[in-house]
Amino acid sequence: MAAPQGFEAFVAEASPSLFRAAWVLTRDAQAAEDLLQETFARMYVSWRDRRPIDQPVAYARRTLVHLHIDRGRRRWRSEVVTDDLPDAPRGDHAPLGDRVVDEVALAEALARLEPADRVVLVLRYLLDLSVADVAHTLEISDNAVRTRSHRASARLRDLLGEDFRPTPAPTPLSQRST
Amino acid sequence: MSQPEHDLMTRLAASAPPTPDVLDGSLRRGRVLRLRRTAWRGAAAGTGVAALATVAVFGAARLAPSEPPTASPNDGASATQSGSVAAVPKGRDPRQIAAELLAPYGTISGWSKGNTPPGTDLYSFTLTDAKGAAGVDILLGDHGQTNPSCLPDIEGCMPMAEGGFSAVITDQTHEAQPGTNHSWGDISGYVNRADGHQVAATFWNSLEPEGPGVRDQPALTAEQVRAFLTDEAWAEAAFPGPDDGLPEPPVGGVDMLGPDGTIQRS
Repeated sequence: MAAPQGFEAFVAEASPSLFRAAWVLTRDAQAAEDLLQETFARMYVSWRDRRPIDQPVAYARRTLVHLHIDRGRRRWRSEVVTDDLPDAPRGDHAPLGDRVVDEVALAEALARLEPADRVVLVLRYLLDLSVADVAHTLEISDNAVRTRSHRASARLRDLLGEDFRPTPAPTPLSQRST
Repeated sequence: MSQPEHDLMTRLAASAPPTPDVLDGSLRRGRVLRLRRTAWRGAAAGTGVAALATVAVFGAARLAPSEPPTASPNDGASATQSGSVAAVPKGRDPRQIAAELLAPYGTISGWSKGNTPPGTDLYSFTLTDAKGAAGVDILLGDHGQTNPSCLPDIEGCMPMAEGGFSAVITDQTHEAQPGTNHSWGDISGYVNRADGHQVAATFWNSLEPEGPGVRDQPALTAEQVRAFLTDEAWAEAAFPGPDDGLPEPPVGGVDMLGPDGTIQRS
């Protein structure tokens, strides 16, 4: 299928990072692919009508997270947030900070965050956006981003306990005991 | 960055499956969305409400040719997006109606049925006349309006005697393709019928949407497209069921009409 000039290249370039973000947000390959398709479909309309999109990557990011929030509202309304993590198979262990945390437990903990807080974490720590860029993406204030980010981190700490804490700074060689 | 949040995100992202190829699906959805918005603007401007929920048109992948439809009536079943068979509303097969209405203009081949948002059915085929072959897309759905009427800002709009209106748009935004002098694009149009149904179609001058032009003009003129869309034969067509309001699944494949008349997922 032919595409407007430049659109195909943009999709190829932007897809990997957007898909990873969609995957972390949804933890469902089909839902993530659906989010990505819908994001690019909306951009196609502008592209096709030759209405230039300023900063298309940022536009795509914004579209994707808003689609995710909009689509999830109905489902999230029926979600019950609890403090208890379900028992999860513990097989794929890897270090998080100086601890070992099961990936499934991580995903479950993330899923228990408020949706808006979850999105803030993805934008800040997966896509490495600044507070200002996250604020622009979500159309909220910088302070709101900081508040949500802090709240999300605190919540993860509650859910994961000692498994979730800042990685200690490495001890300088000169101070290490031999 | 050493924050545990960053580590968490990195680990979760690392477990993501390979990035799928979403280009074709995005283009297909985008084309549906584009005319949907065109029709939506026209409706919202006159009624003050966002009445349209599920509407119209545009492109599917141009596919390898399959058998043209037979003149048999709708068998009452079609493939769903998951590939299973589900009941569809009674009525004549839209492909049969299209084939009959377009018979005076050329030969039809390569029918396919593409995946589109819920509540819409999109059919694609090739129409060949003495000037060459060109793609055609037809999409059926509901426009959601109670009394569709022609409004000043609906481009190419004409009221129909039996209620509703037709709108035909000539799109000349395509660029000249390398190796061809054919830069003209397509003619598309839609009919918002009084019964709530919408029929939309795009006639291209290329084999695939926005592909290299293979002829100067589409096979039908704007007025012929309007006549095709407003024909009362569409009143008998089997329209898709209503949109269930759920997010649509990714468009990962295309339904094609097989030699035995069944629709198979590619």
